[in-house]
Amino acid sequence: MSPAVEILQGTLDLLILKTLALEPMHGWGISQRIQQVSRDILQIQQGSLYPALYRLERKKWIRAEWGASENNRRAKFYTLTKTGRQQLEKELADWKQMSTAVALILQRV
Amino acid sequence: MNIWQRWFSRKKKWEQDMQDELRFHIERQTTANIAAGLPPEEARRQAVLQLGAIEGVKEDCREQRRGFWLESLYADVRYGLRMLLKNWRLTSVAVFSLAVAMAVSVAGLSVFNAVLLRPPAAAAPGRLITIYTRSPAAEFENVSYPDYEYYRDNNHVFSDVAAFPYSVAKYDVSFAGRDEKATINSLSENYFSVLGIRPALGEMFARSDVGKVPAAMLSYSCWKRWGADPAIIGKTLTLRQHVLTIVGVAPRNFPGTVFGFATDVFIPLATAADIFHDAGFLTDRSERGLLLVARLKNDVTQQQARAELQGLSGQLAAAYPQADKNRVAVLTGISALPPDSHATAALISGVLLAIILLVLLIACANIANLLLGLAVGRRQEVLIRVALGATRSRLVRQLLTESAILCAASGIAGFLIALVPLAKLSDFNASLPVLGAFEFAVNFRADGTVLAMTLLLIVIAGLAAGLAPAFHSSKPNLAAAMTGEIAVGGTGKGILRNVLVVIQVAVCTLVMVGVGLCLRSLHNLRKVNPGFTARNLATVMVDLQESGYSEAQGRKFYDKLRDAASRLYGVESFSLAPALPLGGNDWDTEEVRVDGAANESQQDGKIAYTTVDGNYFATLGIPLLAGRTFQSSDMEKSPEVVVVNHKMAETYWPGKDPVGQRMRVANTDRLLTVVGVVGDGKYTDLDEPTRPYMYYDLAQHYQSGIALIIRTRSDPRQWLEPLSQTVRNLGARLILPPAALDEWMRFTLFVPILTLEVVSGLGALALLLAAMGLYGTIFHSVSERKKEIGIRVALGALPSHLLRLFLRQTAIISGLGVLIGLLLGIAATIVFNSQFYGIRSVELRVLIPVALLMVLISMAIAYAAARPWINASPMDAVRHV
Repeated sequence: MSPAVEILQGTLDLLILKTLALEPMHGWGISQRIQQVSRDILQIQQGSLYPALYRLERKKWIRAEWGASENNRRAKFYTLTKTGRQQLEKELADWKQMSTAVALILQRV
Repeated sequence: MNIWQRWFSRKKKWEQDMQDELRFHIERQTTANIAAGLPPEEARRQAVLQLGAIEGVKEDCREQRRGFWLESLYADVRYGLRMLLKNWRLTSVAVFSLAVAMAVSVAGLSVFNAVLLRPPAAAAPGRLITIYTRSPAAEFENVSYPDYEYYRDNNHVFSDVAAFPYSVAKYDVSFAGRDEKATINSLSENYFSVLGIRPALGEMFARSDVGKVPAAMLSYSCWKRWGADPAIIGKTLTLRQHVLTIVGVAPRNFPGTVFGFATDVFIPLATAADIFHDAGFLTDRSERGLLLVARLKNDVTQQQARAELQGLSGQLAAAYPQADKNRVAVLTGISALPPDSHATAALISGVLLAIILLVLLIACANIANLLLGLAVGRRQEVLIRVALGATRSRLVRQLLTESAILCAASGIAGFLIALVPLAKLSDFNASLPVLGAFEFAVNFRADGTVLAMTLLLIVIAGLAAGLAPAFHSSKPNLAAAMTGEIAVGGTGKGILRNVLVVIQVAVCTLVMVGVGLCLRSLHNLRKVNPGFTARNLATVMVDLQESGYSEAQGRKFYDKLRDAASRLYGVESFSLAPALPLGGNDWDTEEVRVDGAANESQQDGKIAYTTVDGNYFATLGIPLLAGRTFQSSDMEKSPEVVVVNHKMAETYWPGKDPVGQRMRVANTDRLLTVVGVVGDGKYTDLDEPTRPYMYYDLAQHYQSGIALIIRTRSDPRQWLEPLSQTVRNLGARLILPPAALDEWMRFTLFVPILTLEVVSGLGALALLLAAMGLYGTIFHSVSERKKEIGIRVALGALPSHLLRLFLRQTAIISGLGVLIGLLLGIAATIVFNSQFYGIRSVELRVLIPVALLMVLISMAIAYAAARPWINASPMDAVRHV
């Protein structure tokens, strides 16, 4: 296992939204996906995933529905809503701007 | 299913879903772990570990649920109430003290609101403005009638301009065959339409009424008092032989044009000019008796109106330089008070509010103290909550909820307590000793504005009282608490409590300095020599014009009055004069040019004067210093003579003999010759500086309003009845019932005495509240140290040693408070020096007694609070932790 990196404060929301942009997913699936896609570098504190999901749901950026999981168990699936998609675009733009700025500084110094 | 059941079932389902979701997560992770090759038991263990502390995760999730904050607030309130009720003794003391302070604050705010904030009962008061004039000679002056007409008819910025004299007068009025005393307001015919006031009955005055049948309107209260006749319109009343037709009744919420006075009858200015004023009132530009109210046109700003008024003032100044040169019309927003008293009223109510807020601060400190006291007993609880994972912010919120409960309860109680006296005060009618019985009409009742300000105060008080203790108590000293050693020696709380006590003592000292200053100032005023002897003087006043006398008849009446007075038993001397010194009136002034004055700048002067007969000085006990007083050879046609006071002689003819000197009255050919010099005195206020003053001879200047002044052999009150009988027998009408002069003079001290009473009341309250706070603090801080006390006693300390220990500590803390309070007091003395009489910046005669009193009181409280603990048995003290 390569050394895991803690997720930056505030980026968890962005990662969740981005992950859900592909398809509806349940909580465990989200955590696995983030880990896989980041080639195991990013490790989500699974304990902080669920409060974050509830928070996003309350903000109406994602919607939850009970459905059957891949192994045919009852699981709660999250879907990105329309406002969630807008929010994702906004946060992505912010992130890009921010990372460009940081990169610039790092190159200079 | 009712709303509660639905709410609960929804909450239950939410909880179930959350648990299911987490369980699914663990199962799924376990499966994944098994797939990765772990044995089933280990796979499950790893899955749970990966998720983290499961109960903590659940809590975090729950916090995200909608309505969670409401539930936790509900829980906080319930818990807070339980804690407070458990300590109900302390709680009720704290709530009581804050409730009293709140009640006083609400009362103060209501007065402030009624005097300064509340707009008059008019439609759209924001568009109304007040206009007065300013000249180089005077900051605030009224407007003459012809100037008013000019402003009214030539401006383009106001929809209309109304005018009224800012004064009331009491007259005899006959209505329906009865004689009534009525307070009269005169105002321009358009006054009600400018203010947008609809009559309760009948109609308002109309501009077209001018010159027709004289009209009058009644106030609502007067209409009620006179029988509430629904068919009163068209009936008549008689005022000074003039018959006036009642055309309307003003609405209930319009008491009159003069703040604080309930008017009975309103009459148009033109009618008032006929009845009361001399011929010049409507035409003379230097008779400035009117204040103007104007309504701005819809699209006009105050700026534009100001510019327009300046332009009009310029035109008037050019056309009538004698009266209007350099005179500018000034506008301000409308308010209940006249513009010249605004600054004073704002200052007085500002100081009053400041004192009230200081008292409130002391009460808040008491609440903070209580909360700290409660916190001592709750260390274990806080500890357990922290151990169970409560965050700091959660604890602060819980503790703030408690202070919010306390303050809300006190605030509501205080508001309710204040309503009763405010309603009483609003219905209060008083008679002024000099002016006669006037009905006061100020609505002090709390309204929405006051309620809003009170709510704001509650929030401020809640934060002021709760914030520091909450932060303090939520910072548990785990190590110290675990070992149980916290009960010995001081803790951080001790420091915060001491700071609270210093604040309380300092504020209380400041308020007491205020009380001392008022007391001292009043004392100084009482010691002032008014320049005459007020004892054993009685006076009665008649109006000869109102009684229908011409000047010739009036002069004959003088003789009759003198004759009757000389025959009264026990009258040592008597005099006739139109007014008395210190009677609450301002004196007319005369502009004089002094022939051969010492230097140019001394040549001109405005001198206040009165008119008296030759016996006046002997009767009042004013010493004659040089020359003579008036005598029978000074007659109507003989050269005009004056008697001047010492200050005037000294100012205009220093080093010369003033007797025989001459001066000229400005803009006339009148020549005055000084025949005598008398002692200085106080003429309007006791605290006025000594000023030049002169006396005309009554024989040369007829006065229709005249007072008979008698010096009696003993208590003048015994002569009041014979005096009024005598005057009535002569057939003249009394303006005011007879009065003893020393009683009359008390009126000049009305304001200082009232101030002293109010400030003393607040001072007593501050002292009581601070004493309660001090007692609680010392009681608690000593009780916290009972273990230490026990050990000390066991080691041989005597009660007197311990007492000395605690008293010394109190002396340091309260001494610091007193010191700060004294410094603040000195600062306040310097700022408000002009409001006091004969007070120095550092008034030791106030500061020293206050300091001694405060130190003594705090020592006594410390003794009372510490004593029970000191006398406890050492065994009890050590064991009983």
